[in-house]
Amino acid sequence: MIELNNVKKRFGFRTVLSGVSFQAPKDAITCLTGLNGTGKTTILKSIMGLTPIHGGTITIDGSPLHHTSYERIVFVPDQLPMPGRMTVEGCLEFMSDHYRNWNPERAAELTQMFKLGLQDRVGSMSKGTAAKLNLLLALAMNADYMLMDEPFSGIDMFSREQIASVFSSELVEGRGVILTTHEVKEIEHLLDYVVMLDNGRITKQFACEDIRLAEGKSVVDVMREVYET
Amino acid sequence: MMTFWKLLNLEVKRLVIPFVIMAIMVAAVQMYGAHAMARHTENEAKEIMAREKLATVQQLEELHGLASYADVIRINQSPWIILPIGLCIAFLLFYLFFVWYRDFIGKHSFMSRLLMVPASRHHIYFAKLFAPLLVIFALLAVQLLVLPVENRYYNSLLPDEMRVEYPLNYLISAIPFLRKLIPLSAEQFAFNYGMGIAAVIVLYTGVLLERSFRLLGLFGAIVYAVAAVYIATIPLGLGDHWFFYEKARLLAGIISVIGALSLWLSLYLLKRKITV
Repeated sequence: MIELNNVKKRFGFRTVLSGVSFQAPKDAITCLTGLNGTGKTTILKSIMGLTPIHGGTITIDGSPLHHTSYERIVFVPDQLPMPGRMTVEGCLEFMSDHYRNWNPERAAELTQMFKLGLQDRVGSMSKGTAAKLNLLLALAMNADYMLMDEPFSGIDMFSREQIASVFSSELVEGRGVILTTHEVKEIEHLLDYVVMLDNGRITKQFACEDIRLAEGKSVVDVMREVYET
Repeated sequence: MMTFWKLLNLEVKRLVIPFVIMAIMVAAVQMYGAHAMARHTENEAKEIMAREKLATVQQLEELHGLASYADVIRINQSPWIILPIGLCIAFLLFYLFFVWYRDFIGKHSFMSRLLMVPASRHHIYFAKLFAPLLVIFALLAVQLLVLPVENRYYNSLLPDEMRVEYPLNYLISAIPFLRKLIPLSAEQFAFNYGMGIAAVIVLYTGVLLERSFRLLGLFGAIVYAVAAVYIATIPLGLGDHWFFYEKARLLAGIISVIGALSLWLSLYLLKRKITV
């Protein structure tokens, strides 16, 4: 389980996270949602140790982040973090070189599934293709947790469908997923937990099952209630 | 440790093309320079012989001595040698400054990928420190190989009785700039390159301060660099009652301390404070 307890973060004098606490269990999809600039990406980066926090604790299965944790937790940013000159093959090599839990067979399958050319360069890829490669680099790792930042942002409908289909496939089965998105509608039925943020604070968090059964509402209904009031 | 070698390999690969270009440029420009200087020597000899009405090269030698590549490059402080080396130094300084920034370009830069490699972040730092150093030493090796070749080429263009050949160390000593780059004593070599490495570590500390605290970090980096330079130059301002070797040892000591402190700070920033 990934657990955030009273996490605080400032950029200069601006507070971006004030006392954020939530738990994201393994084998469940947790969605962080909120308007732009509410701190969703900062939470993911904080979990991954890509930006320091100024208070609180973050633990992964009870332990603070350590460099060995990167074998168990993988981050998919909203843009592919690879140099523009690198080819798909180079990206796969890089991952295979540095991660012991890299699964080359799965990487090969996904390369075919996403129709990626091994000699295509990152810099010349469309946003959709880059998003697929980005996802591939995470899915081909046997990691326990996957953090995804806006996986549907700015990509075409077909790529979006292909990426959405991954969430219901065995590729994410058994993993804990935390994703940030505005576009909840398309994957609403797959979500287990939702954490709603506003101005660096959690305004509401709930299990989707509870909302559906107890209140007969969809996640989008709850979002409307929270953000339109 | 394996991660370090892989990261070093990655960084070196990114420098291979610039290295090949620099090596070819150094060799080509210096060889052309040797050719041009040989022609110049030949023409000058003919002019002198005509002006002074000398019948043979032997007479020219008796009056004016023998020509050597080492003397020619010393007298001219050959731009054919200095210019390509200067260009390489300019490129490498630029590279050292941007080696970190290059990986911070974009919202989710390659640096975020590097920081998520399941190994100590120290490896990233040392890979970025050693890759340019390897290229620098490889360029020095190229220079050491090219210098005797251009010396031979120069000599091959002149009549035997007109020239004299000097060993490599004499060629290196001919240009003070070259002598600083390739010191002839091991102690001097360690001192010069130790100073250079310490300067790179201070530069990297400045960059990491800026990357960690942005505008405030930039201010901190400038203050840090100025303070480091000021402290490092204190021995140079000491009076004449200090022996030269005492000043040199003090300078080496201070630079070692600054280098070690900067290294510690860089590694701390990379581990705890860096923001991508």
